[in-house]
Amino acid sequence: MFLLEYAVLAGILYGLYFSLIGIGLNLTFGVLKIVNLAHGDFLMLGGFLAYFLYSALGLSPLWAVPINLVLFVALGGLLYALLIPRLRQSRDPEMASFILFFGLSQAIEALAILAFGNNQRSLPAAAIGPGTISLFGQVFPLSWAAAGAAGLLSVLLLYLYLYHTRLGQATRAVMASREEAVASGLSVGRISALAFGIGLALAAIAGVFAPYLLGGISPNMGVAVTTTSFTVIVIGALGNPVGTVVGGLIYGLALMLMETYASSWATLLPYLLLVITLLIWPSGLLGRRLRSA
Amino acid sequence: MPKLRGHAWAIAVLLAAFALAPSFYGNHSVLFSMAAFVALAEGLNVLYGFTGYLPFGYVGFFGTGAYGASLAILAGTPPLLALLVGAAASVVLAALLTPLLRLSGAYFSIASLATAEAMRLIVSNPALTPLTKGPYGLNLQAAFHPHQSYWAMLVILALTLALVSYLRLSPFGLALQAVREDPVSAAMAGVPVVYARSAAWLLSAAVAGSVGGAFAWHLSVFYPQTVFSLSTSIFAIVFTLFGGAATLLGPATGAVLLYALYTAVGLSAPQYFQLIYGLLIVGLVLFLPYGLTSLLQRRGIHVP
Amino acid sequence: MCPEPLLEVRALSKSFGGLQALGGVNLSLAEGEILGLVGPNGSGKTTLINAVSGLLRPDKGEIRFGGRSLLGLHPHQRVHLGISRTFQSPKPFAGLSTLQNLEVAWRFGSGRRGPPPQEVLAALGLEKLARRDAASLNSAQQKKLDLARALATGPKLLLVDELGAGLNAAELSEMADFLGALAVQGVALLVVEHLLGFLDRLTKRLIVLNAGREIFEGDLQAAAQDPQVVAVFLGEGGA
Repeated sequence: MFLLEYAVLAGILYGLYFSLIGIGLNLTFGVLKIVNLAHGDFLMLGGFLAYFLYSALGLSPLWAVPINLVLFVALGGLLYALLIPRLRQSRDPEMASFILFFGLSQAIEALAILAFGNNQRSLPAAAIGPGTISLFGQVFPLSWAAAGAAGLLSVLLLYLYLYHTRLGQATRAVMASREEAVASGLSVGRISALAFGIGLALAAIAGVFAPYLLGGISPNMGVAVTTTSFTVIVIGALGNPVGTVVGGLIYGLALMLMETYASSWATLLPYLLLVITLLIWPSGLLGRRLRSA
Repeated sequence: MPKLRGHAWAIAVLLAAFALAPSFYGNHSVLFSMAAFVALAEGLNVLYGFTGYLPFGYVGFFGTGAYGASLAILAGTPPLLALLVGAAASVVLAALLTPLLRLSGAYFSIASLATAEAMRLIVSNPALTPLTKGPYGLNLQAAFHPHQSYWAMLVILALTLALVSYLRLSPFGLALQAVREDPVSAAMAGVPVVYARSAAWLLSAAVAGSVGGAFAWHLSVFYPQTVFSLSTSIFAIVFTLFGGAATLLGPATGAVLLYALYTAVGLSAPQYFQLIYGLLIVGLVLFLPYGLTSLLQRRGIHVP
Repeated sequence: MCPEPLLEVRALSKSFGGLQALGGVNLSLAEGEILGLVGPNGSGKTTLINAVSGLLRPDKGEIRFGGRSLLGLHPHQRVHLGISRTFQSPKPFAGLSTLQNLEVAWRFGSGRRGPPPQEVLAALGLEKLARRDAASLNSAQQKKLDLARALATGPKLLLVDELGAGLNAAELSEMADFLGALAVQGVALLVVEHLLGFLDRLTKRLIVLNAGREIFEGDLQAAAQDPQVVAVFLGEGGA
C-alpha cells in the first residue's frame, strides 16, 4: 500500500511535469498544424541554460525560467519568419515541415555536442533549494514538487492566456480555422509566430527541471523527449493545449507504476503507449481516410 | 522499351562498380557500408517514394533482420540461409505492424519510430538475455567471412535495384503512386488500396531485413544500439531525399555521394556530419524538395 | 426490358452522429437510364453516391447491383463489378501523366477490358495533354480527366457528382452530349447536379432529396409545380 501511494503521488508530480513537456508541442500543433520534431532539442537547450547559470554564475537554475521565456519567444519569432512562410508553399506543408524540423533537430543536436561535449550533465539537488517536501505522508525531493508546480502554473497561465485575453482568443480562432481567421482580418502570421515562440519557451522552461526529473541533460536527449511529448499530447487531446494535462497525468502515473512494479520494462512505456493510443483512438488522426466528395 | 534498357544499364554500372571497387580501394568495410546504404535507401524508397509513407523507424526492420539472421547463424544455420531468416523476421514484424498504415503523415512516421525504439529496448532488455543476449550483443566470429558477406550484400543490392526498377516501370508501381497521391481516387480507379500499400510495406521491410542480416554477418560483433541506431534511419532518409525519391537513380546517387562525404568528414568527427546533414535536410525541404533528380526531370529528362 | 434493374437501392439509411444524412432512400436504375438527383446542400446526395461507391458504410438498407448485394464489398471491388464515379473536386494522380492516370484505371479498374486510354482521351478532347503531368491541368481539364478515369474502368453504372460546377456554357453543352451518348451505349447514369438546366437536357427523370428523404420523383416541369419541392428550394434561397 505504501509503495502504491508513493507511486501514485510521484506519478501526479511527474504527470504535471510531463504536461509542461508536452504543452508547447501541442500549442504549436494546434496553431500551426505542424509537428515540431525539434521540440525535445529546445527543451535540451533550455536545460543547458539553467545548467550554466548555476555552474558558471552560481545562480539558482530557477532564474532560467524567465530568461528562457524571453529568449525562446524571440527565437521562435525568428525561426518562424525564416522557415514557415516558405514551408506553406510546398505541396504537402504538413509532411514538409515534419521533415524540416527533423533536420533542424539533428542540426541542433550536433551543435550542442560541439558546444557542450557529448556527455550528460546534472545539477546538485541543493541548487534548486534545500531538502525535501512531504506530501500526504510521502517524502519527495523538492525539485519534483517545483517541477510539478511549474507544470500546473504553466498550464493555468496558458489557459488564462487562451481564454481570457484578446490575443489568446485570436490564437484560438487561428486554431479553429486558419482560413476563417485570415478572412476575419486577423494577422495570422504574427499570432502564429507568437504561439510558436511560446511553444518553444514552454519546452525550454521544462528543460530547467530536466536535470532532476529526466535524470540529467545531454545533447542527444532530444529525440526521446520529443517522442515522450508526442505521446503525452496524443493521449490527451491533439491540438488542444489544455487537454495535455490529461495526457501528462496518465503518462506520469503509468510511468511511476511501471517503475515501481516492472522497472526493467519502464523505458518501453512511452513507445508502447504511443503506438497503442494511435491505433486505438485514431479519431481525428486519420485525416485523409474519407474525403468529403 | 528504351526506359527498360536505361534501367538495366544503370543497375549494371552500379553493380560493376561495387564488384570492382575492392580491387582498387583497400577499405572494404567502407565499400560494404556504402552498398548497404544504397540498398537501404532504395528499400526506403520502395515505401516512401511509391506510397508516401516515411518510416522514421525503418531501422527497426534492419535491426530485426540483423538479430534474426545472427541468431539463426548462432543456431547453426548456414549464413546465406540465415539472411533469408533475417528477411523473414522483418517481414513478420512488418506484417504485425500493418495496422500502422492506417495512420497518415506524421502520425505514421512517429509511430514507426516508436516501434523501432521499442524493438531496440525489447532486444536489449536484460530479462531476455537467454534469448537475445540482452545488452551484451552478439558475436558471430565463428561465421566471419568478409568476402562472402560482401558478395551476399551485392546480391541483395541487385535484387533491391531490380525491385525499384520494377516499381518504376510497371503498372503496379503506377498504381502505388496513384494511391500515394489520392487513395480515394485510386480506389475509384479500381486499385486495391490496402493490398497495394501492404505489399510495398512488406517488400520494403524485406529489403531492410536482408541488408541488416548481411550487415551483422559482415560486422560479426555488434550490440543492440549498433543495429537499432536511429542514425541508420536518418541516413537512409537523407540519402533518399537528397537524390530524389520515386526514381531508381535518386536514392542510389544520394547514398553514394553522401556516404562518401560521411567517410571523408564523418568518421573522425561524426557531429560535423550530423550538422551537415541536419542543415542539408532543412535546405532540401525548402529549396529542392524532390531531390537532385528533379533538376533533370524538370527539364523533361527521364531519369531511370 | 431487363427483369431486374441494374442498380437497386432499398431503405438506405445513414446517420453521422445525431444528423440523419439518409433516411430510408429507395431508387432503381436500369441499363442505359439516366436519373437526376437534386436537393439542397446537405440533403444526402453525395452521401448516397458514397454509399453506392463503397466509401461509406450505410447503417441500414440494401444496395444491389446486377442482382447481387454490394454490402461488404470494398470500393475497388465495386469498380471491378462496373460501378465508377466522378468527384466534385477531382484529385488526379499528381506526378503521373494524364495518360498514366488513365492507364492505372484501365488496368486495375477494368482488367484491360475497358475502352483503351488513348480512345478515352480522344473522346474527351484531352489527347494533346496525354504527356502532361496531371497536376498541371486546369480545373475544367481535371474534371474531364476525372470523368475519363471513371470511363477507363469500363463502367456499367456511372455516378456523376456535380460535374457541371465550374464549367462554362460550351463545356456544359459538350458534357451533356457526351453523357447522353454514354447512356445510348447502355451505361446507366446517376447524376447529382445543382444546375437544373444541365440536368433537364439529360433526363426527364429526377429524384428530389431533402434531409435524407425522397420528396419527389418526376420531370423538371412537374417538380417546379410541386409545392414541397418549391418550399425546399425557396427555403435555400431559390435555386
